[in-house]
Amino acid sequence: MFEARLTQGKVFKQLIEALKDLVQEANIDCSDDEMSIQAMDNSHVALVAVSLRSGGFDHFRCDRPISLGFNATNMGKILKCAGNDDIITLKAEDDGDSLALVFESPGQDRIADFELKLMDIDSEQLGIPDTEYKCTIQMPSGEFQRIIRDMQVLGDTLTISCTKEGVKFHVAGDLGAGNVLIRQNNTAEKDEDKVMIDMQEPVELTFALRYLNFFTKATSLGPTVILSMSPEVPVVVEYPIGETGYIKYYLAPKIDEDED
Amino acid sequence: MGIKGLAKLLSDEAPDCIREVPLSSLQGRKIAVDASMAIYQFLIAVRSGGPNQQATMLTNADGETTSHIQGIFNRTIRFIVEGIRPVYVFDGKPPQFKSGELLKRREKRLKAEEALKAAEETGDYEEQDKQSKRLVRAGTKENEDCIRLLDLMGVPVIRAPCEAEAQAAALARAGKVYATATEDMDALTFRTPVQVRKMTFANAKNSDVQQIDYAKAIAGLGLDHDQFVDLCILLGCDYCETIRGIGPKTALRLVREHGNIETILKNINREKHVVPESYEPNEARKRQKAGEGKKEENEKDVDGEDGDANVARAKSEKDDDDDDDDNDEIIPVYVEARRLFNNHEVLPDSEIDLKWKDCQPVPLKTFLVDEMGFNPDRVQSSIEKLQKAFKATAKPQSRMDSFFTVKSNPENDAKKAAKRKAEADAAKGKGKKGGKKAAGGGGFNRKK
Repeated sequence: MFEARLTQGKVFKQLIEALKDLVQEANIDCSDDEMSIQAMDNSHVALVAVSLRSGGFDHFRCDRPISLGFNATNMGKILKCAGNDDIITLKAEDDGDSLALVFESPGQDRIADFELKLMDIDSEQLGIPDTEYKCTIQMPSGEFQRIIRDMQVLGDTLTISCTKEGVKFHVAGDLGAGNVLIRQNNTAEKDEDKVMIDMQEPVELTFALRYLNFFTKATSLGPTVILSMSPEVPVVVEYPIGETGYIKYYLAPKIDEDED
Repeated sequence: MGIKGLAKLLSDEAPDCIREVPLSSLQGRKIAVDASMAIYQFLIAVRSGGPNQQATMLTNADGETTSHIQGIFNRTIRFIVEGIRPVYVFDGKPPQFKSGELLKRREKRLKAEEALKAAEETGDYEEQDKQSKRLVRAGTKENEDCIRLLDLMGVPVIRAPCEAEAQAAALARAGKVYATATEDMDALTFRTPVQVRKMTFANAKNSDVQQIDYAKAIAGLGLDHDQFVDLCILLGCDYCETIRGIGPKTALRLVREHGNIETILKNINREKHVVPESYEPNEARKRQKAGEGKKEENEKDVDGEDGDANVARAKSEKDDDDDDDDNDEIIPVYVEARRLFNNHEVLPDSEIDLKWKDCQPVPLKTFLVDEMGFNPDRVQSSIEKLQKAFKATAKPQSRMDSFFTVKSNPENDAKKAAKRKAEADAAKGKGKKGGKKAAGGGGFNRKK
């Protein structure tokens, strides 16, 4: 059987919020050392990968690897019933067809339990190799969210270019064009306010803003975001979750045909 | 016409290979569309007329049919709006071998013509409608019209040397396109890696299409490619007749049991199943000769090829020993059909250059409004839609699966766990970027 207890129930709540607009259905894969999710959107343009390692839970037990297929919208509905300070416990039998969710209030004076019907999802799992990226940009997640929001006003395609100067976000549309330049900033007092750019060679990639906007739903999960880019491969938008987990989004770029 | 009953057989025996997917999942894909199939569909489906009059095809002022133009125009725009890039493949000359099937179709047409005349006399609109649909033919004129239209729309067109499905499947195999879009199941026999069906957009709300995976199909049936081709021939293809009394289930069982048609012929019960002469032309010729000569004498087995079945056959037809007479072997039809499926005449890859261009609004409008008599306002708005969609997809969206490969065995948990572990370890290494907070607090974002 599988059982996981999370004092900061909010994290799980926000996690599901962060992917339910992008994917309709996904599997939670549990093994003895972590709980993970990998899923793609309908059009196979974006991928989300979540990992919460067992050390991050107050209690984590997984007797044998198990896949829990769930509908993200329905899971979100149930999690709406959990308070932000609640302790959330997930339980599933090895061959059961439902996931039990228990919400305990901090004072232990209210205990609610819900059951979510599980489903068999035969989604294709992609093997993602570990690669070195040419550019890695770490910046405050709130700043990234704001850029994406602002850029969406002007168009639906965003070009991100990373050069010596900094990171430039560019959009052009019917009503005009816009640019935001973010420069390296090592001097900020708090770590999470720093902007750190690690560039080996300049990279410029073009993306559909719609998906980036979905990604920023994860902003509440952590104060920083890490963008990793290399020419002609998907960008990785990673939100570290504390010390023991992450949510990573991969987005395939738009590529000029004539290049091939 | 495709392969008889293959769709149903696959959905029963290899359900994994057929998936209903939303149209959006094809975004960014290049698709080879069987143009002849599409034109037929439009000639039949796009009609005007009320309940109490005969439905007629759309025509222009000169009385030329325009149903297919209307259909192809709108469907192509829909493709491009969805981010799909279509290539239309047109039929070339029919393979010689298909003439039998074509003859049959011609007979059907004649019959329908007669029925239509009869219906006109009695004034039965429903019957008239039904029969006139049977008379529809996509001729050279219709094809040329569509090629001209597509050219003006900036969509690539390929004229196949022979069958369109074979050419489309070859494109897909070479990786030039992702899939073949046709209703004809023989695209699979031509080994298209993926076939897409039901791309009709008839239902505005539910735009799901059916996607069939070739590799999963033959794996699901438990056959290899050659066996699959033999199965298709037994089910009934365009190129030769079938053995009577063998339905889909039996055909599959026989192919699984015996591996190929030659062995099946040796083993089947000839009383139950009538093997057409074209399957054994050499034996048939011998029999004929034998029949002319001596009559009903010995029951000797001729060439051993017939195995234990010869007893059954010998009852009705007597074979004789005159092997030496016929030096030139006639090739059995199924061997010929096999050859058509496996080595169909297609254009070499090097001669194919797929380029999607912006449409030419002025000549396109002239063609549609002045020649085809379409409504100018509607044509204008459609062209604008097309131009906008083309611009939006000028830099096509790439897809995840072109960068990351699908894990071969998703069920393999051990492998998965190992991979995840490796990923987790890597993430740990990366973790130092995240800040200097003391590790091992146990808990995500827990306040300290």
